[in-house]
Amino acid sequence: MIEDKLLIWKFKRGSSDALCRIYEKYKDDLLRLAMSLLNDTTAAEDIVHDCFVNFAQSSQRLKTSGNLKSYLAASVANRARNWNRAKKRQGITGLNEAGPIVSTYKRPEQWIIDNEQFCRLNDALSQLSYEQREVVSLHLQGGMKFRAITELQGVSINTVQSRYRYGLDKLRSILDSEAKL
Amino acid sequence: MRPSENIEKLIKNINIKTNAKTDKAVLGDIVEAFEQSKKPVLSEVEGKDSAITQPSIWRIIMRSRITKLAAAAVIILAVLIGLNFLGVVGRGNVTWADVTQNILDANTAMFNLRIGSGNQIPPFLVIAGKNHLRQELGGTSTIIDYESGKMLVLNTNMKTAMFIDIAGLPQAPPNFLERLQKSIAKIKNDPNAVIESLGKKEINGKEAQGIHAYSGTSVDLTIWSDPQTNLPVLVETTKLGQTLIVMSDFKFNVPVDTSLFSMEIPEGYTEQKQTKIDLSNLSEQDLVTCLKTCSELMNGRLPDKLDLDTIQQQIADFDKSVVTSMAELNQQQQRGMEIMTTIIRGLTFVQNLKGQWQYYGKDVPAEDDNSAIFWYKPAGSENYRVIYRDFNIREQVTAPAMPKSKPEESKEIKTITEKMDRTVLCLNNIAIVAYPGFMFEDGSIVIVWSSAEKRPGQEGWYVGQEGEVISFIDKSQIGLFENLKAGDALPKLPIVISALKRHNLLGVGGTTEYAGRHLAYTEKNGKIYEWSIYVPQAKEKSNPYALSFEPVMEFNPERYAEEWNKSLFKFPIGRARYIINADNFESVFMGHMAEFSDKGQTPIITLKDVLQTSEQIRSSLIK
Repeated sequence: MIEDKLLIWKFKRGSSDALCRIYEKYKDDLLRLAMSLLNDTTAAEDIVHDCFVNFAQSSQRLKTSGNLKSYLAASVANRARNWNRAKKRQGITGLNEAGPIVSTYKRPEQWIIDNEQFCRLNDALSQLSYEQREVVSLHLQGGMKFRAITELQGVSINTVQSRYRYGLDKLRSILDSEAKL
Repeated sequence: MRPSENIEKLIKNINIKTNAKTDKAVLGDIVEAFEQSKKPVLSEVEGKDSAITQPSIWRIIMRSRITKLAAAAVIILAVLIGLNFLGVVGRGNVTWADVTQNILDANTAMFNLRIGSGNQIPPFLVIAGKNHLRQELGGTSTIIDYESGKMLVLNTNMKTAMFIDIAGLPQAPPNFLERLQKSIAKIKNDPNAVIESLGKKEINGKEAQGIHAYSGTSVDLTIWSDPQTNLPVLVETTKLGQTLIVMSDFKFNVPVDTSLFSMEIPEGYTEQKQTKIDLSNLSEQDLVTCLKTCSELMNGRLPDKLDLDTIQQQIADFDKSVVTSMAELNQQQQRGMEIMTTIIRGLTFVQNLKGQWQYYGKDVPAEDDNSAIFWYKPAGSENYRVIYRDFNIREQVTAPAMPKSKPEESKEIKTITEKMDRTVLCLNNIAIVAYPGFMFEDGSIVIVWSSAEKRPGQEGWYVGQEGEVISFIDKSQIGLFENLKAGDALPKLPIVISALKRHNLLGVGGTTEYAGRHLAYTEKNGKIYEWSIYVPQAKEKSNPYALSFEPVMEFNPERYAEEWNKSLFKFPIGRARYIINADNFESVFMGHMAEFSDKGQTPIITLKDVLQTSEQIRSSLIK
């Protein structure tokens, strides 16, 4: 936490080294979170890229009182939600309705290199409702507290905790059934 | 292990790998975006608080999204006002005619402009016979249409546009080029004008010949030209030692795209709220209001000269107001616009005067009610209108005498100087400098101060003749700080601010005492700054209006044993200027700490650290 505060302090005073360190420190967490929320490698990469670019441009506006990782995770979650909405508006099947899909298209310079365990977990996550998936991902991968997620989702803490509990139960069930096969 | 056994751990710890090459490319994009965002235009228009630059009303004017555009407009207005000085100038002769013929023949002109000692404003583009002008200034394009009395200010970076209505523009030929042309053309018909050669001098590495033309006390025009081509290189105009206007880098008859003068908002631009600068119905009362405003903003002083450049600089020097919230910032922006309009109205009144006038408000103290600071003789009047230091206006038959110049101030070293943000105490060979305090939410105060003594043969300290330059360099002091922790007793510097006292309003409620302890230290340019925390026994609510704090000064007993317990000196060090909370701790408190540190290398301190230290000290006081 102290390192984050110092990094933000330096970043706000124009240190690109601090920005690079923040990027190195949290890029994997944010990519993993974006993948969990979208289950689309290309979209996840774009969102994390945009999230960092926006963060880089916000040094003058940035409030530093909160938790940096949560701040970045919330930024990714908001963008992921917008991406999903836009996708729905375009008449493409929403992730909630779709079966497990993983972007199988591999670009020559793909950022995330998928591994099997990662793909399996994302498949399982994608079978949760979006709200459940968001709570589980933000809490476990984004490091956000339930209280912070309530602000993001606009629901009570009980609802957030329920979504988390039911989400984990469902994940357990999905992964258990896979293991039995 | 079945995956469901520890699902949380699985999700938390699953690793992904990234492609290093793409990773590098993405990081490149991010750093580029960061560097772009640091360019001044973006950061300035956001109008956000900055740690390093303390916001002041004038700075807010220049940094605010809305007022920045209006400020750009006012700079142009100042040019309009200033160009009134290009009045009628003298009689022609062959040389004069040669030099000025190119100006007279021009259909279009582009030139750079500088007002007073300000920065050059590049470039202005004008067309003869057209009542409009375009000017480019650091991402802001301003188009003025004199006929409609409108300005269109375009921010080419932010793609924003703002119309500004200018009511009551000075009644003068509005086109810069035409104005210059008409002034020159009148020379031949003015028998009273004086024209003199200034010989030759080098301008930008090229030889130029100068001509100085003036008429009475109302006009002063100097043209430097290329002796080979007779093209003007530099035109200077001034009046009675007031605003100096310099035009240079002339280009005549440049091809001009008339769409550059269009008053239509270009496609893709967002229109911002229209604003208005009213210069109509000007009267002497506008000048009085302008002077009063300057006096209020400059601790009772009046500006040295009646020109925008001087006033702007002097107000910025005095105005140390600080904003702590966006609501306050908005209020300050509004106030900034009002101030700007007030000053422009006062100056425009003066510049529009047809008859004689004089201003000598500089150095007339506020209590000197009976001193005249400005007089003018209205056109056609036999009497003089005189503004006195108490801002009353009287009519009298003779012009007041110019105040006698003051004897030069003593060059002796002052013992106590309050200048800018600091308080200085110098005694024989020891001195201390204290800066304004930071008040925290539990009522504790942090003050940064330094103290040193002059020792024989040492690279010692220096006090400027007016107390304006203070330097403390005593490298041996570092040993006093090395093992200190937050909450420890204060370092044994030559003079120590060991405690603070705050006398409550009107003496009611007695005096609150604050015990001083070490919090941190910083080093900059060889000087060491002590950051002391002063804690009252009882928690207090932070109070922005707390009265001055009286430091309890003590001398180092090891070197000044006889003075140690005398607590000799008491002087106010000003109220806590900054109220520190979670929102501004990083920007204001740590920002100031960075200012007092070499290359921003500050100690690592959090708000929690400060409050915990304060609480520990308070507990020890109660015990």
